Amino acid sequence: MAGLTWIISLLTAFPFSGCEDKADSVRIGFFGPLTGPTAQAGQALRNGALIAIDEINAEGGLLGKPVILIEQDDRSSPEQAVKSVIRLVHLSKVTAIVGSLHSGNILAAAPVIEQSGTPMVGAGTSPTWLEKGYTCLFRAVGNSELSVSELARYAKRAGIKKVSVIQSNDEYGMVGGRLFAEYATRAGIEISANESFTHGDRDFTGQFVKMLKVEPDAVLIWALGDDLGALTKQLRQAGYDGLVLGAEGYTLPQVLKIAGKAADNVVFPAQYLVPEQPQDAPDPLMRSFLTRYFERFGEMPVSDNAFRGYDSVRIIAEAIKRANTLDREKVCRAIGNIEGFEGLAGRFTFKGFAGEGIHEMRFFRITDGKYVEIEH
Amino acid sequence: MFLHVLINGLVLGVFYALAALGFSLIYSASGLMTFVQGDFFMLGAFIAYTLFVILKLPFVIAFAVTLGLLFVVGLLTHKVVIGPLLRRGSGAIHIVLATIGLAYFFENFAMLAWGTEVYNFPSVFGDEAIQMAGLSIVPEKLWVVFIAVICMLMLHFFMTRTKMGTAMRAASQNRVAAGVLGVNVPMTEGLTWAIAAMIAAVGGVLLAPIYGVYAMMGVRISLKGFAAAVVGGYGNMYGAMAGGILFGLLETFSSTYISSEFKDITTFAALLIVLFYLPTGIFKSPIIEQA
Repeated sequence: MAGLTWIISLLTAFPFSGCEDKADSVRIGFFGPLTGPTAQAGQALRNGALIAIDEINAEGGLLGKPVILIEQDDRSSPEQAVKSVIRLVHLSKVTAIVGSLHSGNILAAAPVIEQSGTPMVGAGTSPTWLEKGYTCLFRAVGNSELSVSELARYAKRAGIKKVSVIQSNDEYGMVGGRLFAEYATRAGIEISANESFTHGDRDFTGQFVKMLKVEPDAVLIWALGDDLGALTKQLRQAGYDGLVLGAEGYTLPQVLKIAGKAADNVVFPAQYLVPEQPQDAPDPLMRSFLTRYFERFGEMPVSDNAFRGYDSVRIIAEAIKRANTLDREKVCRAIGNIEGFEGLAGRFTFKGFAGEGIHEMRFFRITDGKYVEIEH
Repeated sequence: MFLHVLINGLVLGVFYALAALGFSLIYSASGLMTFVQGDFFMLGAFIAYTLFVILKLPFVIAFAVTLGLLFVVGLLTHKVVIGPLLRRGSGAIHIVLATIGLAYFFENFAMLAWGTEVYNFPSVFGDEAIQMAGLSIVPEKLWVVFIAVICMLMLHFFMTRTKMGTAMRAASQNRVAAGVLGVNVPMTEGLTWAIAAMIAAVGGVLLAPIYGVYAMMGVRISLKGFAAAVVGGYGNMYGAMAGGILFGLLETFSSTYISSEFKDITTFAALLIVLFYLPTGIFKSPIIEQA
């Protein structure tokens, strides 16, 4: 009998045993893809968060306690994201969560997060998960609606009358393409062709023939980073040399490498660029982040998710400091009250914006294979 | 515009044809199905990338060494995996499973060895469009079609005009009879795997500048290649070539004139129709009976 009690106490104690020695620390949860097809981007997100935690601990931690990151791998699957979040909020009892880069995963996990009152700062760019009226979800990056609406405005001001659109037929592409069409139409711009492709396709002949037949003034390419290089190259090969309005993914150096000269005359909205060397970053905050990142991981971030991870932790830390407690709901309210907080993505203002923190985009034009920031 | 679509359709078609050829060759030689063909594409592309981009060897040398290495990989696949399984009396389904396992092995090997990113393979023949008769033509695409066609012709002559090719066809027709007549059957089978891997390597190297090089690059191409082999008549070398090119043209033309959103639906619907009316594919009689 004593043996049985012993086993039961061992079993029940087990899930918490890992936390006991961490009881006197500030626990921040993380869920995102650490393995699988988008592992690189997910790891960049995690690494960015770790850099922020390193910095905070070097400054003496939060409320006098060291900060730790509790990681969960969501394997890019919404189902796994839900499991990850249940573990984070109920088992690890984290104060706040740094969320996945997959908007679909956040959408799936959101009810659990909201119910537990845990604040989450997420990295997904789709507007959808902040349109549901959740009160504890925040975004560490501009959403894609902001990007396409500003692109439409840019096109209007550049005197563009007809735009042909190509988008990937996944959530990112479809939502972005549809919203751009709405904003453009409202601005009096005609959408002369609307084509789509499947992520990973490498022959776009059919789409481009139809898109260029109508002789557009500009072409919108709305897809994630790994398709952009091939799309741009083939668009130029098909004989189009006009203006391309591009997605945020054009910031990836890899896209420039694949597209080469074809990427000239692409204009796109973004919050940050990934320079070749840390010292090339114009912004001091970015420069110090990249230097630390390079020191710790021996490489530059492979994806801009590293910046989102960093900003997420910094926002959470700021809120904990302001709330002066680890009470989840108070921290949640403190994030919601943040105004003008300086991050890598720019100035975050959550107050009065239902979870959105970034309200301005920077615009870049690719000229002779280099990014040039432009007015918009 | 029509010519533009035609050229791009042909380019896509020759890739499918090269993939289909591998499936058909192996089936005709040993009656086996394989799912590792797409990964031979990928390995070819990665090896060429290493030699040409990282080690900066001249393209012709990189190309030749890649083909040689993939020849060895194909040979080893037969020697280490397929041959021993056959000798133990494994059924066709076990071999199929073994090739699926091998495909996973190669994909994960590539991720470990080269990483999970998409690598850029610079164009060898020039990827900037030149204007010709009102058409913008990319020299690379013409070269791709040209080289692929040369490879197919060489394969045709090898199979029909050389002693080794005849021995391979004999072994595929009747293993026992060919063995009695002095043909080294396990060797001809090994050679078939080696040639199939080498053809895939040609495809991989040509594909690399267009697709980029990454661990999963073979997956899509092998799916379409497999379908093309079935449409052409599974096991028929010429059927595979015709099926591949037909598939490429169908895909490009249907996405231009019907709908790009339903591109895959249109092409696979065509596959079903062909199978419904011509269950053995376009080239009815398999190579086994022709020889």
